[in-house]
Amino acid sequence: MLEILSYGFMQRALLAGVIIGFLCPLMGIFIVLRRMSLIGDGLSHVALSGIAAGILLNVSPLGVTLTFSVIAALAIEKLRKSYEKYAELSISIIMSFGIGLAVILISLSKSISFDLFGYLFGNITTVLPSDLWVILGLGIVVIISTWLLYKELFYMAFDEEAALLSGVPVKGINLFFIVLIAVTITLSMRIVGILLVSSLMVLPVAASLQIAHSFKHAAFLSIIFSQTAVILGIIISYYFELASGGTIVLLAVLILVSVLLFKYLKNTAKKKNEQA
Amino acid sequence: MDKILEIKNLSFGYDNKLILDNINFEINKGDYIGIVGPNGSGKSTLLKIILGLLKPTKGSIELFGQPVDSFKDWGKIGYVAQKAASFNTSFPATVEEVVAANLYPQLGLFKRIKKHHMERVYEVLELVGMKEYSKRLIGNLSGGQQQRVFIARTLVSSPQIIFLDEPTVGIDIQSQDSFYELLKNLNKNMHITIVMISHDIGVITEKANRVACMGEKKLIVHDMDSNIPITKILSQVYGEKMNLLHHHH
Ligand SMILES: Nc1ncnc2c1ncn2[C@@H]1O[C@H](COP(=O)(O)OP(=O)(O)OP(=O)(O)O)[C@@H](O)[C@H]1O
Ligand SMILES: [Mg+2]
Repeated sequence: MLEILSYGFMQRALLAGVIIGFLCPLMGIFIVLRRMSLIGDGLSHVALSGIAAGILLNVSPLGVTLTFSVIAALAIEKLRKSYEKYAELSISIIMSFGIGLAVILISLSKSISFDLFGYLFGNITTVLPSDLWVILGLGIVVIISTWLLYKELFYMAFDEEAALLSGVPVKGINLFFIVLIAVTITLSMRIVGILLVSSLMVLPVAASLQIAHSFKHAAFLSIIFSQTAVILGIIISYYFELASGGTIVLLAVLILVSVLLFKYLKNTAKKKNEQA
Repeated sequence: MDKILEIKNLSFGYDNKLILDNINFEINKGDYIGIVGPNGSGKSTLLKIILGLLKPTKGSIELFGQPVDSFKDWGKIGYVAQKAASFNTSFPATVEEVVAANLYPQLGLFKRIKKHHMERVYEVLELVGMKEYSKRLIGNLSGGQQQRVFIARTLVSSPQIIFLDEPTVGIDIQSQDSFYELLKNLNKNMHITIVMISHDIGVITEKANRVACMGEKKLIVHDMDSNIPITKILSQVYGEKMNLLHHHH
């Protein structure tokens, strides 16, 4: 255990992991309950084109990706108004655009494929010191924003019309929230990978919904599940030289299955007790 | 008398299809108003316009003497929507969390809900008889219990008027009785103005002091104290066949 911590890159990976382990379920719980689960996938595909552009232009992919995904987030919000009844359509449009652009940018470069692999599936050895500062700084901004807007986000998730009627600035918060999602995806790409970040937003929440006694409890459990998957995932991927994103997401699936099993056993035990 | 709502020459249509045609309507403090009318006559639409959720094509609406566009004091107004009870029942929220959400008008942006704010939440839950369910998940309650929670949610911001859109749909007769008892208590003892849309004409004519009948894009308001029998207006709105008044309650 101590051996791991003696490496600079592992310290950075774990620190970044803890931040991401907070961010993903925190965004995820509002995303899932508002039935916007696709949005993570949509934005991450745009992020992919940002990474490709960054590598191609030989600048830090983090900055380019952040710009790309925030613009995409704003575009999704804008399009959502044109397709009010088909909210997911606006996500599909942006996602298609993102993949198209990414493929073209990738094909323009010949040496891109190796670098790209880490971004797609997560690679703990790639968190640079400068990345860590961005992840820490922006990550804390996202966490504090969510903490401050907790009651508004909860009200909007439960009943958007009622929230609007009681004076919550629903439009502005929606816009701000989707930007927070874009930031979260960008910050998570080194550790979890673009293709898997959406899973880390959804899986811990899905597990927590099975056993939560309240919204607060659900938020708390999602964070616990996600931290378990991220920290264990990073350690395991170090020892077995696996892609960290895949390891983390498989652990999150394992947690979900255990929770389902636990609930099933508890219910059968309860039934037996009632019969006896 | 204190005027809470004043509607003047209001017209409205969805995509050029006229739904409301030149409506005039007033609500005074302490009123218990029933709104009746056939399906699709525009009752819910009228309510949404009053609440500023839809913009009228023509006419003006004033809430507490202020145009609805510039009205800010939404805590004074409660609304229980027609589909309030059809929320996502697997949403992991407790009764107290749902009610506390509507503390927003008092708290404003960014402020966190603290322990002492919860006293008000328990107070209104007590009032609607749901205090012992505070920690229960809202999705696990019966339809009637959920409806009470939604009333508590509007009450928590201390409204002076509450709009209810078909609040008793899918609720058994006994729960309906105690629900109407609760509304009467709010109206008589707490002086909260009640505006309720309902298809239960028997109950409405018994509880309300004024009944507004929606039909043919018009609103005909009837004072229950007047000598003219309400059946006249109802048959005008629903057609001659209507004999819904034979409702034993
Ligand atoms: N969003 C909408 N877009 C277009 N037309 C609508 C919309 N909502 C309602 N309508 C139409 O407006 C008319 C009035 O609808 P509204 O919901 O106000 O009726 P209602 O009196 O509340 O009926 P009910 O008793 O069934 O609740 C109906 O003909 C309906 O089809
Ligand atoms: Mg209606």
